[in-house]
Amino acid sequence: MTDPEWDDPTTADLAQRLAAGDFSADSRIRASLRARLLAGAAARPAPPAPLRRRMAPAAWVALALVGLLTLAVAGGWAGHVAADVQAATPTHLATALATVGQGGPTAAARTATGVPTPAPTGVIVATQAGAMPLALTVVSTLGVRPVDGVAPAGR
Amino acid sequence: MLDETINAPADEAAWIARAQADPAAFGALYDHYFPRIYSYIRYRVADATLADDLTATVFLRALAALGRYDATGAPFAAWLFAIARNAVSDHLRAERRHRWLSLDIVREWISPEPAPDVTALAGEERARLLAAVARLPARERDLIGLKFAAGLTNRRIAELSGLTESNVGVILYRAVRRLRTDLDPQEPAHD
Repeated sequence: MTDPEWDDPTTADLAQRLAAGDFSADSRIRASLRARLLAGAAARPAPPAPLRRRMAPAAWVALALVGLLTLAVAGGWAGHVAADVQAATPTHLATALATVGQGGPTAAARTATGVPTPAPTGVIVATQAGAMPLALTVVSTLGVRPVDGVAPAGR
Repeated sequence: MLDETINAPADEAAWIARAQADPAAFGALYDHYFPRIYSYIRYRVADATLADDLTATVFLRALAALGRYDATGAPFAAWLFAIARNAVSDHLRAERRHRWLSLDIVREWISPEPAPDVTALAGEERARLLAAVARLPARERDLIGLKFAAGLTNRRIAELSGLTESNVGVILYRAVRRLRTDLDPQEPAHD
């Protein structure tokens, strides 16, 4: 049974009495507690409303637009990087590795390594962003050893 | 059937929003819910003074947490009675730990009659009713309080208590039958 019907008048009457049982007249603190609560509440600053209630709708729209714009820029940049990486030759990867490994500027690394084709920016970025192990794997798979001709200048 | 939405005032949402912005505006909510909260606690604990203390705890906690109340979630009554239920449970747990210190247990040993403060209640009928509720097991008292003092639906009680809705119905049915038998000894026992 989910919600018992009080199946006879006596039980229904008892349920009614239970529901009507307001014992608050017994309380000796009703008025004093109210005064204490409100005095305490008035003495302290209002709690900060949740963010979604504090912000006006226009602010939400602006925030959403900024978010979308950021996503678009980040997506475009990621696409650019991905395209570069996809188009990169083993030589590009070797150059990128050399650049990252030396921590020097791309041009200096290219000069030092003597690799003729400059590595695309995307490859450098991907490698710098933590793709070193991946790049090493790719280079190794393709049979190009980064040390070939990429010794740092002066060594 | 009683329902928390029936007992909620029409402009409750506005009261809540006002009190969230300015806690000094909590008075309207307090005035509306005090009798129900106090009566619920009175069904749960035998002592009127203790009921006062626990009621104070409930409203202090509610006021402190009001900024976090989310009107899109549970109705305010359910939120408030969850606080009340926790306050009573906390007290009963602490009392079990320190039962050897409690004077209530001594009173229970001395006499099965209702406590003096209960019998001193203005209405004898109400006193008898309260004393009969006090003789119910703790879980039944809780459900009786949530159903009749708080005015919550069985579904809302099930959510609060972790029982199934049908289980709530069965326990309430039995509790009311037991109360009826207790209040009128001529009644045949039901269970």
